[in-house]
Amino acid sequence: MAQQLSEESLIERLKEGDEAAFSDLVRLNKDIIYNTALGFLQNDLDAEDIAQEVFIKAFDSISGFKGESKLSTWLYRITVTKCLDLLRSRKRKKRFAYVQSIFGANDELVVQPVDFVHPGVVEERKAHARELFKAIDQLPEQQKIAFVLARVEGLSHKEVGDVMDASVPAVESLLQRAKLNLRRLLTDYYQQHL
Amino acid sequence: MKQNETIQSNVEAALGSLDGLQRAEANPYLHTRVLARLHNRRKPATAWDTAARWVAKPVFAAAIMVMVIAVNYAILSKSKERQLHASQDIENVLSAEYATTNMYSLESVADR
Repeated sequence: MAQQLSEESLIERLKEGDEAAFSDLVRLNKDIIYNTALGFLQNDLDAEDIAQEVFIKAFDSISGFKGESKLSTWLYRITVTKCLDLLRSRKRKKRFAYVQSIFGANDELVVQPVDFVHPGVVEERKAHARELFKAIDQLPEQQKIAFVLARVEGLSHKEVGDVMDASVPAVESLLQRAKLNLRRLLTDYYQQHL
Repeated sequence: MKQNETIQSNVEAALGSLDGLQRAEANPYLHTRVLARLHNRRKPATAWDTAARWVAKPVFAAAIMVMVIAVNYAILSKSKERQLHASQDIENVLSAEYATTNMYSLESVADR
């Protein structure tokens, strides 16, 4: 109850343009935003850049926040949207670069480094986690959102549903399909590399 | 058979590699950077910024091009007109001169 009240007062102060309230918002949520962005983008510099953009977007559009969801849920939504936009634009660039390479005029490096290990992974699991993140990167969008929010950010199925605007059974179904796809991708990988 | 088991154990290990994952911490300066970005954005634009924004617009470039073409056309047509007038003036002067001389010479011949 006290937490709800403090969130309400924080929102009020944010709507009034209080800079100290904005500082509180960043301080309280920077890690969850950065960690989520890192799960999607698998690059620390991109994740930090997106985290900054998320807070700027929040500052700009706080007046439109109706309080129907938790503030953190709203921030997660902005983060997911921004990360997916960046990934889509990268994919488009990759496709364009491929077309350019057919015609022999492409010097730009658009392929992202793939060897990412999340800094929070337990040391002895890092080698396996590296392969898992490569597989996560190949998941369909909705499955990727559900998996990253649930397994990298550690949200409950209900919280994932709130962010994705989906029911708990729908989230469970997405996670189930994500796991099946990951299992298939990892099996293919280990068949080729063992 | 043995290889299949190895593959399966690796797959399971990879799927379980996120167990006990710690949340990554953002850069401690993230807050300062966000505030800096906001403050930079709030700075009022100078006259030079406004001018540069106008000049960068394609409409501005197109308008300038149309103006240059129009001025060129005006200068060319003016100079052609002037040349035409000049040649007509010379013609008039010459023909007047020629006609006067003739009249004069005819009159002087008749007098004699």
